[in-house]
Amino acid sequence: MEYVIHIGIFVCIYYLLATSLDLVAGHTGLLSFAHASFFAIGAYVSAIIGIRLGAPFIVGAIVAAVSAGLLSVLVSGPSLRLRGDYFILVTFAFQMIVFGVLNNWIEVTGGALGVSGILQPEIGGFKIDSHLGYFLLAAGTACAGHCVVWRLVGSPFGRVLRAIREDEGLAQAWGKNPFRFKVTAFVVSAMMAAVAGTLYAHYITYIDPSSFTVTESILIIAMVVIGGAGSSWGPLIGAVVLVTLPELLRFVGLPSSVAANLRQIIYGGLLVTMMLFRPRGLVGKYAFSH
Amino acid sequence: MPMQVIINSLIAGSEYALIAIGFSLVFRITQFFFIAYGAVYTAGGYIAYVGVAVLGISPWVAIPAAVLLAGALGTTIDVVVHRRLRRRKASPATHLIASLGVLVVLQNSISLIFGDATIGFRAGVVREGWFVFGARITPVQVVTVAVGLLVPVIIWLCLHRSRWGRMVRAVASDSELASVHGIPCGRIISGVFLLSSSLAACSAILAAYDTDLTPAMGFSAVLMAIIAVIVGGSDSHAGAIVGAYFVGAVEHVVGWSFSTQWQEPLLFCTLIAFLLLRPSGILGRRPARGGT
Repeated sequence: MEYVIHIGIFVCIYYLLATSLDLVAGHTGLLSFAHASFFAIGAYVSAIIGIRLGAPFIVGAIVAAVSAGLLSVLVSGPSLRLRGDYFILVTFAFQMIVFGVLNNWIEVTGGALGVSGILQPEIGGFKIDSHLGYFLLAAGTACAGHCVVWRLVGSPFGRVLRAIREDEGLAQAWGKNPFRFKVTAFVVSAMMAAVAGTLYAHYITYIDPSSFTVTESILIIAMVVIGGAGSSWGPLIGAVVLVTLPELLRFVGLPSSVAANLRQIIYGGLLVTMMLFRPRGLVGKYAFSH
Repeated sequence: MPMQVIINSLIAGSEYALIAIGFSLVFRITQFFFIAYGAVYTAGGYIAYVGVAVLGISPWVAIPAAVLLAGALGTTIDVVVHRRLRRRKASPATHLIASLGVLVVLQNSISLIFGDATIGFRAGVVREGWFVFGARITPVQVVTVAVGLLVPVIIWLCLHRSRWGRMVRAVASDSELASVHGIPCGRIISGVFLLSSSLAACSAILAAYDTDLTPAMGFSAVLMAIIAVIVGGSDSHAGAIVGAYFVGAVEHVVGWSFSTQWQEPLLFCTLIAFLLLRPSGILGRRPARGGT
């Protein structure tokens, strides 16, 4: 049962990541490879604040989200004026730079050794030290995240995002400033990814750069693409499928290195298959057609 | 600046020039980033390994065979995946995601079969190399530099002095108009994939003789190719070459002045700087502005 709860916690964390990426990639049409970097920033900032400054969990989460938000403005601000594939490249480069910093800035991030001994969260006097307790925290946060995205996406703000995705020039002709909307969406998604990072760091209590590589960004993209971009259920289905699939492989009894490669082969295969035969994913509404 | 840094920059630049021009060939004719190029690169290296180290075939046979097989792999990727997407008029993002999927599948397949450990097929004694103007260079590195300088010339000749080259340039310039004129665009594009993938394999084999094989080598290679093409200018193949030598120089100057750890992050900072300030690259003319 503990195992199922453990899976559940990861589904919640990855749902937060997938749905926030869907906000920018699915609804606004901005494919971003930087999502794992905001996930990382959330994890590292909240971990370091917690350990070095003794800050409580909630404070760490807020600072992490704000840091990610500020960095996302720094990244997206100048680069959202570029054409589509060049913006994608900037996010890709940013992801690689963040990874490089995490791996090499040993004084702050511990380099490849990472940060260990992250404390389990304590909220309002309640110490969360059981798997079930953490699951409730993660699920609660995931629901909150879902509500945020749901409200944004269903609101006029969301409609403008989709208008920008379909035809930016037309949206601009109707008096909307696409740049401001795109940056806002990007910042919100980065902050949500950082919150997911906080959850991850305080659950595993140890983080190192290898969990936050560009492969991780690709995994999150895969969740959005396979589940279906631009829809409410797509990211959830994507997160559930891509989190539980490798666990199923575990039961087949393969050695772990084989399983790791096989898992990636399945992700990659699904990505190609989806793009060829069902680009809108399982339940998505957007087929990356622009 | 020590001669060794200059020589190393030259060697790295030549290595990247070969990779970059292959990448640029596909980019200019299809307008999308052929990320799976990294997988073809790695596959070429490993096929050569199988030929030379596992099957014991002479390198003079195994290497050309590996190059051709890698070329065939690239063409297969085009026909199976990208041609179908082109028929649907899929967006560059769709091609990119599909290509990414192919890279992930192939790279992990190689990792599955050969393991992640570094393996090599260098035969003979590890040679010290020669001293040139006070810097050390090995025979393989000399070959790399020579190839890196020669191949762009050969490619230029192919593109500008042959009928096939003219058709390639026509499709790259305006594929609809080219097909109206009776040029078989699909086959031309597949041919470009063949050439590009063969170049990737050549490059990988040269790299393998210098620093052995790992499954992730192609991913790094394609990243360098992208940086070289953007920094140098995506408008022309000359841009890819210039970008490649620039990247090689930055890499080794940074490595010498700071440390090798920060080479990669700084290269990506360079990429971002160019994307934001001069997207058309060093040799570019048209600035790439505007929304999606």
